[in-house]
Amino acid sequence: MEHISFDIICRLADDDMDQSEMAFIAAHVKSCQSCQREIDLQRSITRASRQAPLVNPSHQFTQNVLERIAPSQKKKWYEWMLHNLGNIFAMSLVLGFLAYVLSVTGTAPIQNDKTSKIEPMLGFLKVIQDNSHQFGSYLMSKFTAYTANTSQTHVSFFALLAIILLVFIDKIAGFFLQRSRI
Amino acid sequence: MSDSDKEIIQRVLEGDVRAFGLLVDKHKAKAMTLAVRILKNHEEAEEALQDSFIRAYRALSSFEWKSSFSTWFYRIVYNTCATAAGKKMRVHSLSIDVEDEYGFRTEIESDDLQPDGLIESGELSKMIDEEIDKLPVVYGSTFTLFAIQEMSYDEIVHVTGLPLGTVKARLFRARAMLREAVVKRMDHSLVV
Repeated sequence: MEHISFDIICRLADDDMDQSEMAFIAAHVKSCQSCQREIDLQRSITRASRQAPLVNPSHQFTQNVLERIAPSQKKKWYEWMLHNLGNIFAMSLVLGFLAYVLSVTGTAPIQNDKTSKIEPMLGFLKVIQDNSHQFGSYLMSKFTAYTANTSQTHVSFFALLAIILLVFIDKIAGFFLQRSRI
Repeated sequence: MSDSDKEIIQRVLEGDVRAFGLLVDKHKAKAMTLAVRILKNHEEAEEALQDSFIRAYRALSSFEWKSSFSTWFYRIVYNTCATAAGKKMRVHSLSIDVEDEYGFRTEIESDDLQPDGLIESGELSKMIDEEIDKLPVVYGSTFTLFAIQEMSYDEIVHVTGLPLGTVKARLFRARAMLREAVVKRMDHSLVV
């Protein structure tokens, strides 16, 4: 008995055969165990290959793809510095200013007790935190009153101006940085 | 219930970039299997697959649903891997027909087949997987598209850009090689 060719067996296994062809071959396959086994083997190969384990990429794969598509907004250290430049300057100036005032008042003739010297400074810091609009006038009044009888008034006034200027720089820098991100 | 490709793509096109991760998760394993079959190297396959997903993302707005997303995407994977394989001067070109593809004939010696019980054993999947890995790239990749991606002949034609006759010939040849390998291993296991 002549067996059916291998390409026909493959087409049968792949269901790539129309009805007329199928009817012609079906009669032979029914009576030929050898060809039937061959078709079964090919179907088994297809089934088995569909059940074969898939190869998975690394755990970080999806994250890596997303990172390449839309890099996360991780700030580099210099970007962070630039963004907070105003705050850093203001903080440095306040601390420097505090240190300066303390050193000046430490050497100046002491009229009041220690508590009365510290209170205006604490108030000054609190007002900076609470209300930036009022702190200028508060500082001016407190500080002018505090240093009225000393030769340091002009120094305090320039320090105050410097602080206000830095706050402005900070706000303007923040505004432009925000705009550049949009 | 997982979202369909269409819903996910809609979200991505509306600006939800993170939704693209769902598409990646959905297709990465099958696509990776194809990439490994073509490049025969895990690291290179992963790199090529990453590039494929990036290309797909960039071209997503121009995707017109003339085929399924997976068919369109596998075409990108196939081409990216073929380019990567070409760069490495791999001899087995993916687009040039092999000389004996059409001339190949196999005489069936059906008597060498073992009873069905053995064929159906759980070992067969593992055996087939190993044997597909050993196939030349042109056959292994085509058979992977057919079997693992469960693509029709027409879809394989669309993915590979090969003529239908070539696709059929490659599948036919892959089947013949797998059959030979399976029968040999079964004979061996019976002897041992």
